[in-house]
Amino acid sequence: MFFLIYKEIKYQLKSIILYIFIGVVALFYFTQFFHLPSNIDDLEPTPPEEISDNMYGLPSYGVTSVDDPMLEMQIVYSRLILTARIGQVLKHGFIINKQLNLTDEQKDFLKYSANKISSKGIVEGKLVPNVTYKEYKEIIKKVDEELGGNTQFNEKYISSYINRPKTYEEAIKSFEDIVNKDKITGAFGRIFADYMGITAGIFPIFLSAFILTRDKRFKAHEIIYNRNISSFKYILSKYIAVNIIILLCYLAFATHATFIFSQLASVSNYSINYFSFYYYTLTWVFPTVLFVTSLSFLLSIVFNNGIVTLPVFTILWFISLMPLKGEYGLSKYVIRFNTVGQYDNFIMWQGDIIFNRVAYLVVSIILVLLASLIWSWKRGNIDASPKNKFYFSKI
Amino acid sequence: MQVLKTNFTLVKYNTQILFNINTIVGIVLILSTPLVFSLTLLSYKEISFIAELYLPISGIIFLTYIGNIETDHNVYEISYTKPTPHIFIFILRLALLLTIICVFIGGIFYYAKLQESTFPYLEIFLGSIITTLYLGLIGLTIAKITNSVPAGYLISICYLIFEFITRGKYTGDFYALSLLNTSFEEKYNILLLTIIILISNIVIIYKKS
Repeated sequence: MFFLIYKEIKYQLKSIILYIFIGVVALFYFTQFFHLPSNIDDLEPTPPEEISDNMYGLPSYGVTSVDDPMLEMQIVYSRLILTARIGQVLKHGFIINKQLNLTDEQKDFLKYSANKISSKGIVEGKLVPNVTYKEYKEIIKKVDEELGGNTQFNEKYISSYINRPKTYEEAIKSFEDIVNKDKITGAFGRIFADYMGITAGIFPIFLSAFILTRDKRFKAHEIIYNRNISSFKYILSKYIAVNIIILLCYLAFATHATFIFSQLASVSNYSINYFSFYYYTLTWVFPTVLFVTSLSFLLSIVFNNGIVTLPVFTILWFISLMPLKGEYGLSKYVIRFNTVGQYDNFIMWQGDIIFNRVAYLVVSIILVLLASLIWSWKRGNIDASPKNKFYFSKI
Repeated sequence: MQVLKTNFTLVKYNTQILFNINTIVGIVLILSTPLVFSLTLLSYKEISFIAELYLPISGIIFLTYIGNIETDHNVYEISYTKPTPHIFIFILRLALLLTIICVFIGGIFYYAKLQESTFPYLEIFLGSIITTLYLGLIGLTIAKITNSVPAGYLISICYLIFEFITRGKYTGDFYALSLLNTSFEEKYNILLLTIIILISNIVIIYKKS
């Protein structure tokens, strides 16, 4: 089997598709991830008195989620009033979101719900509520149901706009987390894995989906089918070979990123974690690669053509792209964490991420075994025609 | 009469050749649009996502391989020596597939209109067809040059995704997905590029055959 893996790697190294794949990943690496600070000290937030104001006359350190229930109620109350006035609500779809026009009854219901939350409204910058937080949650749930569900008032999506500007102290804490807890490369390792995960979610199909159909294309399948080799070994050796090649590609970029950050850190006298980029490549990106290659194998064996993988993965890829962070259910085979830092959020989501990655690892193994089984069955029927299974010869 | 019969035979056999898994997958991709997305009450911005990002993938699936059919099946030595110039066969195949693309994509936008979506039909339809053809011909060109159809798929998909993520930052007036910015102006430049690529392919295929 090791000889087969070696042969396949040797073949892939001569394939133009591999070098196009490396070029594509490099393109994404340098255009998306490689907007690095020239100095680590540039990441440190500027004190408010030194910062040039934005259009609102306030220094901007980004935004953070709201923890205060009263503030959350105030933001959502304002959103209810605004939505009723505009007459449109954002409805989250399967892949694309829509702006739905509201009927007069729906607008009245929004105004009624807002009035139920607070009849006095916002007084001196603070909401004067009529209800408790629990009752407010019930009212908002009913609003979402009345508007057809999956709207911006749904609990899943409400957090996307319940945020407030960060204070300088919070921005300093975020910077200290990047330096002390993440050792700098931890924070950038996650966003590296985010961008590389985007490429790992679709481009490996062009390496893996056409491997097994190659035998038929070169008319070598009859010879291979007659060889004394188990189907499992044959498929697994090709699977391992293509994944090694792809992993080495991503590890090369991880090495480059580690090198760049070691240079930056030595200039500013910071210490970095030299293994962070490798860690996130192996634990976040590689399970995506394993899943993509295993499903490509299975689909190309079933349909005898690798092109079927393209529309399948395009749809799966679009589903996995959003949101940019925070959602790690089993429908997401690409891990998105499109932000630098946010160590506290990372720790909060770490359990979900680990579960997601282990689940996709297990699914990948199952898919490869299934692919071997189907290939074995097709091997027994030399022209792989299902009708031969049901042919009753006339004797 | 003989000429008509010959041409009809050519069309018939090329239709048979083109009715393969690529064509089926492309048609299924287009017809599955109402299942993947809801086509009800879509605005310009929402339909442009489908027109620029989803439907043009069918162009890559339909068109990338058609320049390599004879090479992949090792019959080019026979087919290139036939009286009918191979370039005529290529243009015939392109015309057949373009007809399929226009009919099915046009049908999807018409269905969206029936579902009370509000958008300029002709602008979205033409914009989507131009992008579909453009990406398909890029794939075809790469496949022809590298003699590898997967390379054609890879480059054209990469181009589509790159344009989507960068939103025309690096391509400017040649932004292929300009309908996402509610602009049709760039489509004239893309159409010009498409024609240039098509003529280049015709020249390459003429010289190779």
